[in-house]
Amino acid sequence: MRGQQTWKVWIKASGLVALCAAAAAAIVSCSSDQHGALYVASERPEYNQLRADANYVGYSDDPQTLYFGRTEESDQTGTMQLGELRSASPSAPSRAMAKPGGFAKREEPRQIAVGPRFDEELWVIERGPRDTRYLTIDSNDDRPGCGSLIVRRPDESDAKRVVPVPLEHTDVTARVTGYVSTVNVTQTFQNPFSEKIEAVYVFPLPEDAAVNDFLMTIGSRTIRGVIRERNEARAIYENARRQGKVASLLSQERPNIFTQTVANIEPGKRIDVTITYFNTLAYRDGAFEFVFPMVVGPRFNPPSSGRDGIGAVAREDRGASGQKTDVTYLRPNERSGHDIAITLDIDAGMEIEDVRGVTHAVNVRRDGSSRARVALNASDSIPNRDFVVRYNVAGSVTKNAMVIQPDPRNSGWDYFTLMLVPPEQLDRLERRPMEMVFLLDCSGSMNGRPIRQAKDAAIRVLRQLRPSDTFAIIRFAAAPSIFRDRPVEATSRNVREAIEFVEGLESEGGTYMLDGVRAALNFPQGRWRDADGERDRTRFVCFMTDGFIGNEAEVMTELREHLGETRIFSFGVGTSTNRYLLDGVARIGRGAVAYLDPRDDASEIMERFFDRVSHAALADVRLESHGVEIADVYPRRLPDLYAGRPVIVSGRIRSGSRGELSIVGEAGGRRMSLAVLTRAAERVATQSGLDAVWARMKIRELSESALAGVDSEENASEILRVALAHNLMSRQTSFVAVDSWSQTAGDHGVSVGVPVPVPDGVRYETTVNER
Amino acid sequence: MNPRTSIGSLTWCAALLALAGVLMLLAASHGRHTDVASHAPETSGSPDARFVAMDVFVDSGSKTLAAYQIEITSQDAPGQTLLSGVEGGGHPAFEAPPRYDAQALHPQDNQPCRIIIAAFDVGHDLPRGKTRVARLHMQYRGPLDSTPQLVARVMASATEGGEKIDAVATLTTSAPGAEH
Repeated sequence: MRGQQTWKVWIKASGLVALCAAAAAAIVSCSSDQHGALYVASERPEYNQLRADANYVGYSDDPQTLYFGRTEESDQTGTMQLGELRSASPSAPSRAMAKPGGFAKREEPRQIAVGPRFDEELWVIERGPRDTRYLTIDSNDDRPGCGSLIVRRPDESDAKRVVPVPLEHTDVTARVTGYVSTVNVTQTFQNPFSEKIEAVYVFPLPEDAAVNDFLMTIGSRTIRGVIRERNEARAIYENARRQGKVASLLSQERPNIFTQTVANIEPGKRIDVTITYFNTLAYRDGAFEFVFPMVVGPRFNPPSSGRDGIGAVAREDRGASGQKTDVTYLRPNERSGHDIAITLDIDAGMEIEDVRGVTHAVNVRRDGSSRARVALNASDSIPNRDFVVRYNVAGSVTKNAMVIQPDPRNSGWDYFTLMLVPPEQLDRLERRPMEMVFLLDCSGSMNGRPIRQAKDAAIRVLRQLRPSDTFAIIRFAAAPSIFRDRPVEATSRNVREAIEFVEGLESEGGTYMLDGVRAALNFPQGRWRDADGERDRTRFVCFMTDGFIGNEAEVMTELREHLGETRIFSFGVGTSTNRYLLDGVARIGRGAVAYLDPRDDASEIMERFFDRVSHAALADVRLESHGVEIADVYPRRLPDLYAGRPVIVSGRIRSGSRGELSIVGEAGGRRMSLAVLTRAAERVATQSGLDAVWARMKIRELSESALAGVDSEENASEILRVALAHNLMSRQTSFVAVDSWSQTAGDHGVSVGVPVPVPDGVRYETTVNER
Repeated sequence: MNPRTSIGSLTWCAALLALAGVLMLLAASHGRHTDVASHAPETSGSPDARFVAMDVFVDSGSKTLAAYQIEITSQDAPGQTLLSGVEGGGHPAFEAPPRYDAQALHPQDNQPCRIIIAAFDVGHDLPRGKTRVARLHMQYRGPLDSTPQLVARVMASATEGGEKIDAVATLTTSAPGAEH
């Protein structure tokens, strides 16, 4: 039997022009009886107008959702945004009735649609105190299978409702030795519901993370997961789930996005899953950078890109996007109890000059001159943006730039990684006139601080161009648009007009990045003349985006096929950028990548960028060996080296080799060479995890070759072989762990997603799809 | 810090290297002890794919067991028995899950797959006699009255001083309440 229940409704009226133009907020209380009739009464007389204007109420096909508000048939915008009330009871009546004299009854509820005029509207609803005399609805609104109720008082913007989720805590312990990090990530799943569940959590890791260990802990027992071919692992997991076995499965959706599923978590029970990965730290502009991503930003999937994308949906809508993987998001007025702790131990092998948390409050403890411990401050433990720590070391990074790991299997070939450091002479070589193409993401996810920062960055570079340079500006969102139809000279007038154009850009709509990239690559190219004749200008594309798309492969394929002599420098803007895309675009585009966190000074970063492109790059880079045998070096095609931007390569080296390696290339028409010490030298360090790093780089090479359609079937087979041999996560392999020893009671329960907050600075309303 | 927990935090490569160091002190592989699991497995669910836990024991006699490497081969048809998890043993020295050899588990060129597990401990409280060193979690396809046909072989084992041990490996099915 359903009882009587009282609801309170707060309406923030910024966009409700027709409804209550003068009111900043209004309160209405509604009640429904056991027949589903709706009664409305204003608690405050000054809002009677609101009640009088409202003319619509009803349930949609979803009986848990109640809509009410006002609609204007003559209004050009059509259906108006209405309030939404979600019942906790799946047995709610299918239709509500209006109280005579107050509301007009509508037999067919209107579909909610947010028109451009009303996208600021916000109806926020809270269920009032229950009348226990009548109420029989289950008090647990967020139990699996139930609707949800959202609470936010207009006058209490910080009072967020806590949504119970099956992921309680993430603990990250990282150790950096030299420039190789070993990271253990422990996810603690706990079932807060009254029935058994399967937890599904989509989460990020660094795009170069070589995940090669997986542990599942149930009470005092720990089971090491086994790497298997992806479909085989999935089949084992599903069998275990159906049979009531506790099991977990780790699958890769993108090189930087993974899905963790844990089956048969009994009520109140806890299961820990620990993932171990290795990766190398980037050295950018004088500092090493440790990055741990915490949340997947909401991706946009163009309709034409198929169903292999990453959907962004409301927390109760998992599976609604039609994409293979959905990330579920908490609404702005919600939070989960999930928090994160991070501890980073740095052993730099040389004096550390400075350690700082770029994105979070951290506690730093120095242990001698070359060691430091960095811990995330507990006051900053909400996982809604990348965790970035930078540290500088004294002297040249060429020291210890090569590290070696003996092959555990004694194959005769060891593993090495090598940091290719650009020759210092590059600083002294002047550049030729350039063509700078600004490619700016103006989609909805860039709204707010990110688009402001991208504008500032672009303007900074525009002001540094010389009159002999040319430039173009392309913005993309739903469709690309341009500043002038061909590159123009960077005269003071053109620059001034361009700055006005940039300042006028607004962010809205979907991220049709592929169109923007095509526009940049196909833009008419300018030429310049010197004593030797006329030639094409060197084109640099300055690509600014948060990277929140699900069709990364299409974009990278386009670049790989049509790059030509263009160089692409990507700039990740925001707190949780898609580093897989940004790093990949820069790598394929033979440029470099930089990240603009909101706390960063955009001017400073762009000046470094401009300084970088203002000097010749070391091109046609190759390794020459002298008395050393090396093989299987990745990336196969060594990238150009820009001043201040070393590049890491990985390969095999004959065990016991003595001799020397040289980095050789050309810059400004001159051949340059830089010697690298190998094992015979004292400073070459040994390091574990390099086999995993090497295998991961090989897999990346194979994956990117497959983008261009190069023997894709053969590549897939080779990726599988390498991943299985090295116990490594990949798109072809997954980790599975099953506890076959014990048995849970009952069936496998329901599947529950772990909703996450949208990244700091990203607007939920413009990025997440609500049904 | 407890030496055992510190060992548990070593990487796979470090563990293999350390184990290799111990085992290099031994003569060539001396594993001659085999056992075929003969107990009825604990099963559940669908008869065509069920899950079975199998305990792995090493009997080191009067010697302390500090390191072992065991090969387990299946006599079943390919794909009939699939490893789906590796758990540690009953003695504190070996309670951390042992490492497994991924290349052996996923061989190339149609070679039969093998499960090779290895662990070591250099603590002071090492076991003697018959010790459960691991538990294997398997998905098994076969009639309900059948069991995985597995053969265990000690590839190498040693004391904490690197002394070779003539150890014996055995396998039994396992279920809650039947703790060994």
